[in-house]
Amino acid sequence: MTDRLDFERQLEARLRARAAVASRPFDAATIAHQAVVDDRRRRWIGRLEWPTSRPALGWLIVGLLLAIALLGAIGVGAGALLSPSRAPSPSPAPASKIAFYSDRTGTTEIYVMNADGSGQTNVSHGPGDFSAPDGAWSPDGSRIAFTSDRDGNLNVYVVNADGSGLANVSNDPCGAGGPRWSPDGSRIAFSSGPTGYRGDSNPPPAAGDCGSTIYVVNADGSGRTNLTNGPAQPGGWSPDGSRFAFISDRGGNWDVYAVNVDGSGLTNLSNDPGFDDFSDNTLADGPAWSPDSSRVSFVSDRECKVAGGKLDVYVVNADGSGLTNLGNAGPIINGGVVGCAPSDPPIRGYDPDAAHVAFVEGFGDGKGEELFVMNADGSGLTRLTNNAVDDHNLVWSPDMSRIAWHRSIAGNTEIWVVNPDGSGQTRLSIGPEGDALRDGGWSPDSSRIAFGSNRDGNGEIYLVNANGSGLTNLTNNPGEDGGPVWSPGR
Amino acid sequence: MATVTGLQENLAGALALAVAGDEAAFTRIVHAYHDDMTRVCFVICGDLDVADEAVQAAWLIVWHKLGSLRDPDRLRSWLVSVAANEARQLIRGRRRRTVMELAVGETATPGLDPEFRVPDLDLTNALARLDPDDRALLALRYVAGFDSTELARATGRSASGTRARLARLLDRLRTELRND
Repeated sequence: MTDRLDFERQLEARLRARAAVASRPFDAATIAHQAVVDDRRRRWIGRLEWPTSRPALGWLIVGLLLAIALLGAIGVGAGALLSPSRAPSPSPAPASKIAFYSDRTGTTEIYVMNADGSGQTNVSHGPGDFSAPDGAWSPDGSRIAFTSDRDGNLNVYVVNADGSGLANVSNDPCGAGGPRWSPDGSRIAFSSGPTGYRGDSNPPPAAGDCGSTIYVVNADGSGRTNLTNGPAQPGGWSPDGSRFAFISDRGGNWDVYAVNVDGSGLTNLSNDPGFDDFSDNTLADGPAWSPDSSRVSFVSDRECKVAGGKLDVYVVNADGSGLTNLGNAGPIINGGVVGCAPSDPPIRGYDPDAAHVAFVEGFGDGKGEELFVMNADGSGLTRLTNNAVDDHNLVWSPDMSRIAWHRSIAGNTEIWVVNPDGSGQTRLSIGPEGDALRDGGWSPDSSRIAFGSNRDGNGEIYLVNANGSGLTNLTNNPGEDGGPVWSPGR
Repeated sequence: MATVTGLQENLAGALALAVAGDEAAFTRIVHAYHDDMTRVCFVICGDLDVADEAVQAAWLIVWHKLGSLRDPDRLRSWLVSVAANEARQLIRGRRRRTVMELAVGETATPGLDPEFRVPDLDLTNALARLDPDDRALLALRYVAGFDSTELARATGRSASGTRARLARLLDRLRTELRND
């Protein structure tokens, strides 16, 4: 008689042998890309940007005028419109540096280097990674926030850009991540505990008694304050640093909330049974505050319960008043319709600052993903690409004068740039399966792009001028280097 | 002191990049875990095509939800759990729509190690009679190697409840496979 343990061992062997049949060669790039494309098809990715101080092109001006008219109708002045989306650095670093991760020592750690690749310095002195790349650098470029599990669980650490002054600022037994600097660099908000989960039937459960909430601490870790006092997804500071917006399902459905940074004044801004959200599907993108901190915009599927309804962009005052439906962020482009079907996942594809120009990805003639730009009211639609391959993963230059994107073609990932009117298309690089461009890749002066590439067999960081010249491997070592993020500065 | 090690360490950076929307980094994650997910789904579904469909659907969810995962140490268990859940739902949906059950193996699984060719016929039939939830439990435990805590997370039950259910399942299989 086979005892129970023997039977269990035999069953395990038989199950593993049976499962091994399913092990076949596969093309990871194709599988990954299919998931990304399917997600875009379902979400109809759109992206809106607040204007920067230097909108250079005529069509941007047209967009501005339309936006000003639009905002004028809801009580926002052009002065606010023309201010930058994020608070300017109080004292910009003299020259921009690039933070990146590298496992050259056998452990993934954070490094900083000069823009020419010199001076590569390990600043994390132990395991470290960026969980919110855009939030890594302090506004003045003097410090870096990152996450590390060196003390037993993930926590938020801050270190000076020269590697000195390392400190665990979250000290959270529940774990912490997603650091976001306050606009003046004096404080950091972070997410504590397991983040909430939306809709899928495999939610990661809470660990122990830890709940998902957002805390704010001083940059040295002191003054810990529970900001959201309940479930909250990563959010973002208002440009004036007085309020913090986040989304939460504490009311039984996902709504947009704002709270004063001392934890008072919690307000449900969207307050509707529909699904309300303001973020992209990245932790890097924060909520869509207006430059004067008076309003927050978000996307809602509340109209989806109405026949013919669609996802719309809304704007609401920071006190919850003045909810206005600005309409669909863009027209339906070649069938790239915003999904309202019950099976569609919650839409998280917008960064819906309601004022200025939009850049969207649609589908051209059913062949591939194409890039479009348009004004915030849906007018001025311009198609930037038209081909049978996929163009995607767009990143605006900081001065809004250029757009960089990925083109997936013949197993390669190319990086291209184009002017927002469609002119000046230039291929910057050709990399095998994955030159990685992302937010943070543009230099602050919009003249260069840093990106990750494995073209030499392992991850390296390359730099190229925005006109395609001067391609340079900045890291050039056997380790895996990637995730370049420019510091503020010049 | 816990540190991210080995494969997880190498993928920690990829995870952060993928969360930021980097498709190449996501590809690295797919490369690392697609096989694990497919094997688990195959045990649940009993059909390679359905397993592939479940895993592709899982990757869509994963890409969409990566931002919800903050602990790289849990990446593998989360991915496999998502895939297993997709497989369960897929097989349940097909049963509802078409009254289709897993094919009861008239022949052993093609390509199977000869050592297990005959026993696999019995195992295939035994698996086919199980509820998809029970097949998922078996796949997660014995194919993916989940411990009780991970099983509990994946199934939404307590660790002790999961152990009890698994014990009952083993008793049933031992009887059906005439192995006692």
